Amino acid sequence: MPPNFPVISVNTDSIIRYRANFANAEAELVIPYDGNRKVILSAITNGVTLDIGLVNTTTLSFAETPDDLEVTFTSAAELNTTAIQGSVEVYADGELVGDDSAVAGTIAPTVALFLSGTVNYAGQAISVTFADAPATGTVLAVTFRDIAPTSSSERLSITGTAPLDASAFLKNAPYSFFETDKDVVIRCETGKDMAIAYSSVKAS
Amino acid sequence: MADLTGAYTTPVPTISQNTASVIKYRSNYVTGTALIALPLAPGVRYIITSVYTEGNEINIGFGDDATAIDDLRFEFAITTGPLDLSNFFGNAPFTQYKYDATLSTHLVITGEAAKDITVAYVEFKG
Repeated sequence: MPPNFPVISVNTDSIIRYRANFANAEAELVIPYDGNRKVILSAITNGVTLDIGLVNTTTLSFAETPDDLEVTFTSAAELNTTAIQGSVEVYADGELVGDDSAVAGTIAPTVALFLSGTVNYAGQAISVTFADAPATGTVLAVTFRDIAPTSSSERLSITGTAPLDASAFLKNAPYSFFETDKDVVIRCETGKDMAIAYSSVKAS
Repeated sequence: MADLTGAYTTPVPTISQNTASVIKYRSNYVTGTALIALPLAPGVRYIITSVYTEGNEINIGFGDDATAIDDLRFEFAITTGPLDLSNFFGNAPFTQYKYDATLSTHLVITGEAAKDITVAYVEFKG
C-alpha cells in the first residue's frame, strides 16, 4: 500500500510545531487511532534503539454466561507469536479488568472481578479466569495489538548508542505515516525510557 | 554548478518555501547495515534530509549497481560512532541527481562495516 502523506503548507508546518503534545513511557508507547494523523516531531530514549510503526489493534468480543469462570478465546488470525509487554487487555462490559502491562503474556487483574489470564502465543489462544462469575449478559472483550515489527508495519528503525536522540533526525523528517484503524506505536529497548513530542492533524 | 572534480553538473531542483514544507512531511525511511542503495529512475531524485548511523562514517554517491559507490559525492568520518548528520543535512539536504541506465543506477549510502545506517529521504520529481 503506498504511503498516505499529508500535504502541509508553510503555515500548517508552523502550527504543527507549536501544538506539540508530549508523552513518555517505558519500552512501548501507543498513540491510539482516533481518525487524526499523529506526526512524531521528536523522540529520545536512554536505550540504543527506536522503532516507529503502524499496527492493528484487534478486539474480540464474547457474550458470556454467569457460570463461565474460565473461558478460552482463540483467534488464529491475528495473535502474534511474540509476547510484547502491555499488548493484551481484557474488558468486561467495557471496563478494563486485566492486562499484561507487568509481565508480557501474563494477564494480571486491574479489578477484583478478574483473577488471572495467560496468553498462549504458540497455541494462539488467550485464557482468562474470573474470581466471580460475570453477570448475565456480560460482554467480554479481549484486545491485543499486532505489534511484532514487520516490513509493512515498521516504518522507522534507528539503532545507535545510548542515549539515542532522534530529535534532529525527526526535525527534518517528521514521522507522518497514517492508515485508517491503525495505532502509532513507538518502541525502545525493554526496560528503557523514552519521551516523544507529537502533534495531531487532520488525516487528509 | 561545480561539484567534485569530474562530477556531472547535476540539475538543481526548483523548490519553493511551500514545497519544502510539503515534502518535509513525505519522508520515507530506510535502515540498512553498512550499505543502503536506492534505485534511480529517470527524472526522480532522492532528497536526503537526515542520516544517523551507529558507525563512524557516512559516504554518499552514485553506483552502477547496488553494491558500491562509483561516483563519490559526500564523505565524512569520525573516530568512533555514532554519527548523526541530521543537523548537517537539515541545513543542506543532499539533492544531487545523476541517472544513467548503466553507469548510474543507484544512489548509494555506505557506512562502517556491520553498523546500522538510517536515512530519511523524499522522492522528488523536478
